[in-house]
Formats: sequence, C-alpha cells, structure tokens
Amino acid sequence: MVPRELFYRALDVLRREGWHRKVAKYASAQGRARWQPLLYHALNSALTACTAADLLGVEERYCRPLFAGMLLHDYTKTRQSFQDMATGKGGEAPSKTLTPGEEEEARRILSQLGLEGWEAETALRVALLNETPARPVDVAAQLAAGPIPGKVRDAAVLGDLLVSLWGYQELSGRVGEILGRYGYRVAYHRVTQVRGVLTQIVHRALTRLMGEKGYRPLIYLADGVVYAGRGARVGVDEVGQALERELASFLQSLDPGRLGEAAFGNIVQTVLKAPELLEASPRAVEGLWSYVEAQRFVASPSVTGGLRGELARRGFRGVELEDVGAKIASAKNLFIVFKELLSVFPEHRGEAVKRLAEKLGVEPGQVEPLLQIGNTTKAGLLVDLLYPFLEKTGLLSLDHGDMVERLLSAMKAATRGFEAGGEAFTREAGMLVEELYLWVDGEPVIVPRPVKPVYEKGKSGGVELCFLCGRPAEHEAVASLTGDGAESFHNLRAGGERSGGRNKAKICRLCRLEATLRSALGFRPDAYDVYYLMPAIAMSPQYASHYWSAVSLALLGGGELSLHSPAFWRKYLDGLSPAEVARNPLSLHEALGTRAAARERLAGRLRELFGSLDLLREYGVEAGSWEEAAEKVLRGEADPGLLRDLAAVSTGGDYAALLASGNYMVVMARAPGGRDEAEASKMLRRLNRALMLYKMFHAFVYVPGEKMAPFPEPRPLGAAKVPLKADLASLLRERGVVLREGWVGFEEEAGLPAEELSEALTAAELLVEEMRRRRVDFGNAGLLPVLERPPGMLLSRLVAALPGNPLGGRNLEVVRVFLRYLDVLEERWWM
Amino acid sequence: MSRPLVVMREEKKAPGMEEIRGEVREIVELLDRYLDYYVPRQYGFSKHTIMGPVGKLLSVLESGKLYDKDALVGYVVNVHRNTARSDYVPPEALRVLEEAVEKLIALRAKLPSRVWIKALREIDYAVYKARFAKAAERAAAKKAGEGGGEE
Repeated sequence: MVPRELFYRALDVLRREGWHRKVAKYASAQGRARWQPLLYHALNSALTACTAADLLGVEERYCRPLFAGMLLHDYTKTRQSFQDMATGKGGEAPSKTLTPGEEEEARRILSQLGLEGWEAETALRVALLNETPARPVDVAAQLAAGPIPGKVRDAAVLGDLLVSLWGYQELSGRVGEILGRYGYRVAYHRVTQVRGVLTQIVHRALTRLMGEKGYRPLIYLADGVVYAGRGARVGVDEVGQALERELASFLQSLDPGRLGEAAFGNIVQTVLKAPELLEASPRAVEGLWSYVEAQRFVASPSVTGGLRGELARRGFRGVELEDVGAKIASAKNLFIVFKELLSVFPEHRGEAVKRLAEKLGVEPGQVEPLLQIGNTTKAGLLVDLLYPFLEKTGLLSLDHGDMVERLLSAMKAATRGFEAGGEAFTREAGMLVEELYLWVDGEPVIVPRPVKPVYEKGKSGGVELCFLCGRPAEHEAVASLTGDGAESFHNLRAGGERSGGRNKAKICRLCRLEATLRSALGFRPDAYDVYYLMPAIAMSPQYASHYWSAVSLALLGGGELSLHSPAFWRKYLDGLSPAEVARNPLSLHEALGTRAAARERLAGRLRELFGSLDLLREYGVEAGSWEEAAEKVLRGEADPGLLRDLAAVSTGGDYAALLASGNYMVVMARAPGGRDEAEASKMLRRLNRALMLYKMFHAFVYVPGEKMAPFPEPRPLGAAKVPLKADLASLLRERGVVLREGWVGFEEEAGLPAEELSEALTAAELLVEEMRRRRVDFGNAGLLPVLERPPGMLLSRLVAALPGNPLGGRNLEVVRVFLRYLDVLEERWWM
Repeated sequence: MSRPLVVMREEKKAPGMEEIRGEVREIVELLDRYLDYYVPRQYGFSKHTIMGPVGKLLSVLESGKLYDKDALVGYVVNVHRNTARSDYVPPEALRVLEEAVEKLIALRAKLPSRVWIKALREIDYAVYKARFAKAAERAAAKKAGEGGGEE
C-alpha cells in the first residue's frame, strides 16, 4: 500500500527543503525523552498511516493523498517560532492552519511530489484534519476544509499517534480505541534489556510468533514492536518455545568452524571460554580442533625456561633439547585442550580415552595420567609424564610437524561425534521470557519478573549482581568474552580489596550468552566497537528486511565501503545522496565508483555459496554468468531473501558482524585509529563513524562506552551518541555542537549540526592521513591536534615536508587536495 | 568602623575567540588584499617569504614594540620598500594596510593579552593559508595553460 516511488521522491524533496535540520518532536524529560527531525517524523507518520490504511481497508485511490498529506501534517513546525521554542529560545507552539504563503509553498512541494488537482486538495485536507484542533482558528479552518472519509482520517490519526508515542501505555488510549472500532486488537512486546545480538533474536522470535497468531507489526521501536490484529491470545509457553527455536536456528546458521573458534579462550587462562557453543553443533568440536591446529602454542610453541632447565638437567643439549622441548610443549597444550573438551562432555570421557589410546597404540591406563596435566604442572612432572609417553608411541622420533599432526588427528578421531544431550539453551529462553512484556488487547500476557532486592540483609546476605545488566550473576566474567572490566569491582566486594586473580566481576547467564554469541560472530571486545543503528524511517517488515540486508551486503561487499577507509572518506566528502542510498543501499557502490570491484567480489561469493546458476533462479535471478547475476543483485533485482542469506555468510575485514531486525541494527566494527592513538582522538573518530552512519543510512546511532553493556537509550535525543571525555565535550560545544545528554543535535539552530560536524571530522581525518603519508602527522596524538591548530599551521607543516618546489610537479596536486580538505574543515569547524 | 579587606568588583567579561571570529576574518581579508600589491624581489615558498611585510607587522604587534597606527604603517611600508621588487607602494595598498592596522589596534584594545596572542597566531596562519592557496591556484592555472598549449 505504501507508494514506494512517492516515498523516495519525498525523501529527496524534503531533504532539499532542509527538513532534516528542523525539529518536529522535542522532550528531554525522563520517560518522554525523544527528539525527532521533521523529515523523519513526516515520513514516518506517512508510512505508518499507510500501514494503518491498509489495515482499515482504505480505498486505493486515497493512498497517495494520504501519504502526501501526512508528509505535510506538521508543516507549520517549519516556522522559526516553533524551531525557537524547540531549541529553548522562546517562540510559541504553532497552529495547524497554514498561512496563504505557507499553503502556496505546500502546494509547490506537492507538485514536486507529482500530486495535482484532486490528489493535492485531498492531501491538504488530510494534513489539516489529522489532529484535534487546539485553537479556535484551527476549528474554523477544519470546518472550512471540506470532508475526507472517516477511514482516511482514522488512518492519518493513527499514523501520527504511533510515531509520536511516549510510552507503550498510551496504546490503550486512542490507538486502541480507533483500532477497536474496526475489530482489531492492539498488542505489543517490549524487552527490558536491549542486549544487541540476543535481543535481535528475541525480536525476530516474537515478530514471527505474533505473525503466526495473526498480528501484524504496526511500528518498530528499539525495545519492542506494536502490533494490530484479530488473532488469538498468545500463551507464555509458546513464547518460550519460540525463543528457544529462534536461538537454536540462529546458532545453526553459524559456521561450525566459527563456533569452535569462538568457544576457545586462551591456552594459559580460561581454555574454553564458551564451552556451550560446542554443544550447539556436532561439527563445532571439529572446528575447535582446526582452530587449535593453526595456533602458535601447538605449531611452534615456546619452550619455557623451566622446561628448558629440566631437560638440560637430564642431559639434553643444543638442537636435541630444542626439539624435545618443542614436542613436549605442543603435546602438553594438546592434552590440556583434550582434557577441557572431556570436561564439557563427561558422558563421552571413557569412550574418548579408549579411542585415543587405540589410535596411538597404547593402553587407556597410559593416557589417563596425562589428563592431569595443566598449565601449572611442574616441568619435572611434565617431562616424567610426557617423555616416556611420546617415546612409547613413536611420536618422539617423528619430525615436530608430523608429531603434532598425528597426535591431533588421534585426538580429533577420539572426540568425533561428541554431542550434547540437547536442551542447551532452554534455561536461557526461560530467562529471556522473564525480561519481557507482552500485552494483548490491554491485558498482560507476560510481565517481567523483578530482580531480587540486593541488600536486604547487608552485603554478606546480598545477591551478587551482573556488572553489565544488574541481574543476579552466575558466572565469572572472562576478559576474552566481556572485555576490560572483568577484574573490576562488583557489588559484594569489600572496600580496598585487590582487583585481580580470582576476584573477578560476575555476569548473569544472559549476558554470558550474549558475549558468547558475539564471540561466535567474530567479535573481540578489545579490537571492535559496537554501533547500534536505530532506523530513523519507520519501515514495513518487507522494506526493513530488504533495506538492512542490502545495507549489510553493501558494507560487507567490499573494503571500499569500510568506514575506516580514506578512499571512502573522500567519496563521502564529494557528496553521497542519502535519498539514493535509501532507495537501494547497494547503489553506494555506484556512487563510490567501486561497482566493478564490488561486482567481482559478489560474483565470487555467489559462486562459492550456490555453485550453480540454476539455484539462483529460486531467488528470481536469471543470469548467464556469475558476473551478470552479481550485477542484478547490486541493482536490487534479487529477492530480499537472497540478500539476507548473503549478508548472513559475509564477513568483511573491518566488520565482525552486522545483525538487523526492524527494530535496530547492530554493527560490530573494528575500532578506528592506530593501536596506540590517544583515546580522545579515537573517540572523535568513533563519533565520526556514528555520524556517517546516521547520514548515509538514515539511522540514529548509539555507541556504548561499555561494549558489552545493554543498550540503555532506545529513544534517541539527537543524531548520534558516543562516549566522550569531558574536555572533548566542551571542545565540541565551543564549536557550536549541541550535546543533549551526549546526543549530537541535528537541528540547524545548532552552530554545527550533526551532518556538518561529520564533514568537518572527515576532512580532519583526511588531513591526518595526508600528513601521515608525509610523516608530518602528530604521531599517537592522532586527530585531536588537527582540530586544535589553525588550518594555516597544518598547511605550513605539510609544505615544509614536501621535497623541492611545493607548487611544482606532483607536489601541486598534493597541496591542492590538502587545501580542499582544509577549506572544508575551516568552513565547518572554524567559522 | 571596619573596612572590608576584599572588595568584589564585577568586571565585564572579556571576549573569547568565538566572539571575535568575524573581526579576525575581516583583518585577514584586508591583509591578504594588501599582499596582492606586494611582489617580492625573490620568490620562495617559506612562510617568511610568503608573509612578506605582514609577517613583520604581526611580530612587531606581538612583541609590543610599536603601538601607534602611523608607526606601524610606516614600519610595514619600510619593509615593503626594502624587500619588494619595486619600492613603489601603491596608494590603494596603503589604504588597505591602514584599514587593517586600525582594525588590529581596535582588536588589541578589547582583548586580554592571552586571547590577543591567540588571535595574532590565527591571523598569521590564516593569511599564510590564503596566500598559499592563491599561489597554488596560479600554479594550477599555469600548468593547465601549458597543458592546453601542448594539445
């Protein structure tokens, strides 16, 4: 029902009108906080009104006028007096009635959108009649406006109400009343914790279940979905089962090799950091062995001083000592992994030991003692246990590589077919239900169970809490899963106690599962950042699926689209059209001039995934070659399912994972800047990534300070929010950036709105890059010094480093490019 | 009768860099225009050469050696005549220079010394950037012209 062409045109026209820099909704008070740009409020009201119209059975001919009318329903908010009021400079609330000048302007916009005559007149009526009049002048104008059908008006009212929701409790008011008149029940699900990957699974499971029950999504929010339908009630057990199914199918969609890799921690710390992943797929254990095989601690281990000394004491010297030492070290590490695996599958222990002994031609009794080896086993005991074993099995006489291969293949064979008893995540699914609200027709189906009060009996009797989300904790935090902070304070720690050793922070079962899932997706807390993208455009389920899959594919499709790539920054400054990106995110490759490279890569991926062109026909792609098929996918001609499948299996260099639902997208991207760059500079780079994503992909972006902590701010107060140090925040404020609770303002009343700030920061990043190439950058200080020094000073620094005449030969082009970026920086940042 | 030991007196807040951005820009434009009339005896690309007499003007302002408008203008004219290809200073150049010096003196009067030094540094590098950009444009135009000739 949504007139798609009209939507794309509206996005383009209204952006050109500058509506993305005007405020439509503003509130900072707790529980009501949200800031919406007029562009997105108008588009969302129009899109949601169309979804509602479809539900209410509005005649097809009203579709375009309804959409266009809702675009203009808050036209009077473009007035300066309203913008002043929204930004705290006085001003007043506007009436809905257009002045003659405004009406003329509104008609001009309608004409640009392709609406004339009856359509334009009806659109203007919709714009005026969608709200209860607040002033006498509006009553008079509404009476004079002429009628529109009741259903059209109801759809318009619903559109505005739903995108202006303060809280879910409002749904039982007018929204419920209007939909009730047409026999529909309103339902919603909402989570109390937004954890990134896990919550995506919850949203997917609930949306699917509600769909099966006959409820259709009306609007997506980061923490929930509002539905309408005539379906039956939903049972609590059904929700639990749906969550379990979704979790299992998510894990099965992952590469088993990756599961095994993700299960592994660190050979000298927690060896299996996420053993439950090994239970998710029978092939995960094989994946673990393949990963272990390539690790240094097996392939070329270091021989410790203790082991070296012990071997020397026993008469080994020179090359022989090195050889025996390396073999003992490799064997020790392999037996540690083997032992850890057996502890995950205790029911298979006896059988596995027997099989390993058979493969190596020894008695099981000779393998058993080796399973006591650990990282702290003394060198003397290690040599006593392993040297005779390696000698007896003939492994000692083999070359080191052959020895490792033989021992490993024996261990692989011994552990083949390890399977868990099932029900791996039943408890987690139950816990997820405890964090959920599900209301249908004003009645609660599920309400979250409150967390136990903590200090009822003083600290000694309290409940240890998860340092990430506050639920009762069950597991020790592991640095390789949760990142920094694993050895930090927790609520039961006594004052002055040492942080470290076994004094770890604790996490709950769900945060552990979240960390495990992220790990399975390739996320490493020390090297990656997390970006939450909340769609600024209210999408239908079909559009959301297509759009996010295409965004994923666009980002994963090539290094050129990496937000860390200078080539991308240059194109970004040259001007990308966000309207075009909304139409087809894959068109970014076109805009960036990287189409050929993307096509080639995509063709390779399609070939790898499908093997035969015939299989692609199922996705609506008829092509004679892989290149032709890739071209069709990039043109957006393929079935959205194909994009989804492709995005699911793709991994790009700078991205660990991208997961999307209609609610939000979570992007895990490599941390920006050099490894040792100052944190302040990295923060600015991170802010720029977030702002680029905001501009390009029409999404509000939130970057959490604690990467694993749940996402606490599902209602954006600006374009993007990243953690900033206090001095950085004041530097940005000095330049005119509005920071509302840390959210960067998008409004033009700010001296430096979000999009301009992004351009300034991109120019600064490019300047650093140019200076780095000539070795006149500011070293580890990175980006910040470029923003603190006058542009001329940067220029003189570059000029001094150029050999010969700075305006001669190739130098001239270098200087001109540098001057261009300096101009952008000067105009946006210094003026 | 007791007398207060400390007297709190409210003072007018001194302007910061944000408030004087417009004035700084005007001064930069004037100094840049003045340098359009200055052709150095010997071309070079060091900052010293590019800034010509303006560099000297800004250092003398920073050191506080000269305060008076005429003295400052005279100082610059002298440098101009000694380092330019021709010792003739056109009246238009003189007028622009006088206007720039007047504005500089007015700015100095209203700024605390910390901000004044910062403002001088900004003016210095902004003029440098403007001059270098012009030189780059000229070089590019010349190169394009050469390229066109070859075709």
